[in-house]
Amino acid sequence: MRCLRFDLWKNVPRYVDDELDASAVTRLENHLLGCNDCRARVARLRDGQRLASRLPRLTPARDGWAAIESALDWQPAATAPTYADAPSEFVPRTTWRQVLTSPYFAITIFAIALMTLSAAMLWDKQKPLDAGEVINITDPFDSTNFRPVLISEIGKNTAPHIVAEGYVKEVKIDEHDGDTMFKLVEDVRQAEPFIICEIITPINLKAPAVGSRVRVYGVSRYDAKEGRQWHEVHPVLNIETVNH
Amino acid sequence: MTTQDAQKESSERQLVAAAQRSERAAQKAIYQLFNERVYNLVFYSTGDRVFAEDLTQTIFLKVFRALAQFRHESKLETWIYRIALNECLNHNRRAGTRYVPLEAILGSGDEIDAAPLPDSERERSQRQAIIQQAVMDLSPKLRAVVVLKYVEGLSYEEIAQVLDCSAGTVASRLNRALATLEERLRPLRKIL
Repeated sequence: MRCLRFDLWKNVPRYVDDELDASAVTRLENHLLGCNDCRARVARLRDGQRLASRLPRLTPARDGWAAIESALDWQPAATAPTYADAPSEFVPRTTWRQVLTSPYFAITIFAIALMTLSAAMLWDKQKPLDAGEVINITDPFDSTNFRPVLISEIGKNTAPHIVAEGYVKEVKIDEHDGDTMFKLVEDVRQAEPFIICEIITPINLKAPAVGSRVRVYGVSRYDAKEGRQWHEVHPVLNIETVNH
Repeated sequence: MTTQDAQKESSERQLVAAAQRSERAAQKAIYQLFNERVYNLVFYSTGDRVFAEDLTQTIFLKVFRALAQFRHESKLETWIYRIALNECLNHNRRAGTRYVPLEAILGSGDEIDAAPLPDSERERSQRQAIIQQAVMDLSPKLRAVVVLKYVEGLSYEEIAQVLDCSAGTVASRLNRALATLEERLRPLRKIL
C-alpha cells in the first residue's frame, strides 16, 4: 500500500546520508517498522547513494596557474583606498560655508574638471575599434618575458610565455565556449603551419582583422582534444598590429 | 564554533586579505586549495576534461578579479563554488543541454554480463565510467547537488548556501537524483 506520510518522506535523503537529527531518526525508524512502502524507498535511495558515492574525484591533467598568473600580471587589480581606510585625524572639521568659500575648493573643482576631461580623452582612445581598424594597445604591456617563436617551430617550444608573429587567417567564435579565436599563419596564402589564438572572456581584447599582420603575446599550450590537436596561444594577453 | 573552526576561519581571512592586496603567493594558495574542487564541479557540469581545465582557469581569473568585493558573508569555498556554478550555467546555456541516450549508459541486453567480475583496477574504472555517464545524464540541477554532496562532501546546509536555496530543496533534488540513478542503473546492479 502506498504510504501517505509525506512529512516523513522528505527526511529520507537526510536519513540515508546520516544528516538527520536523532529525534527525527527515531520517528522515521518507528514508522519504517510498519511501512513496506517507506522501507522500499529507503532501500532505493541507499542504492542510489552507494552509486553516487563511487563517482571518481578527478585531478586536472595540467596546472593552470601559469596562465592565470600571466593574465593577472597583464591587468593588475586596482587598489584604490576606500574612504573608511582614511585615518580620522586627517579629516578636517570644517563647516560647509568654510568649504565653499575656501580657495582650495575652487582649485579642487578645477582639478576635477581637468581630470574628467583627460579621462574622457583617454576613454575616446580606448573605445572598441571597428572591424578592420588597426589595434593600438595604449596600456603599458611588459613584453620582456615572452619568447619569440616562429609559427613553423612552435612544436619545439618549451617556454610558457611566447610571442608569435603572423597573418590573421580567420576569426571565429568557438562554438564550444563562446570565446573568440583566430588562426595565425606565416603565409596568408597557406593554411599551414598555424597557431590557434584564443581570447578568453575576462581578457576582452578586440579580435584583429583578417589579413592583418600581428604579434600575439600569450601562454603557449597544446590542445590534445580529439579533432583539435593543435598548438595554441591561450589565453592571448596582448595583440600588436604590425601592419594592416 | 569549535576552536579548530575558529582558527580555520581566521587563517582564511588572512589569506583572503593578502589575496585582496594582490599578493601573488596568497592568490596561488587559494588556487591550489580550490583548483581540484572547482575542476571536478566544472567537469561534471560540462563532461569534457580539456574544456573543464580551460573553464577552471577562466573561473579563477573571475574569482581574483572579484575578490575585492568578497566580504566574508559566506565561506570563501561557498563563494567560489557559486562563481563556478554560474560560469557552468552560462556555458551550458550557450552550448545547449547535453543529452546522453540511456542505451549509451546501459548498453544492449547482450552486452550486460550479470556474472560477478574479478576485482581489478580496469573493471573498477569501467564501473566508475558507467556511474559517471548515468550522472552526466541527470539534469544540470540534479547533477550539481550530486557532485557537491558525493564528490565534494558538502553538507545539505552548505549546498543550500552555494545554490542559494533551502536545505529542503537540496533534499528534494537529492531524493530525485538518487532515485533516478538507482532506477537507471538497476539492470546493472549485480556488476556495480
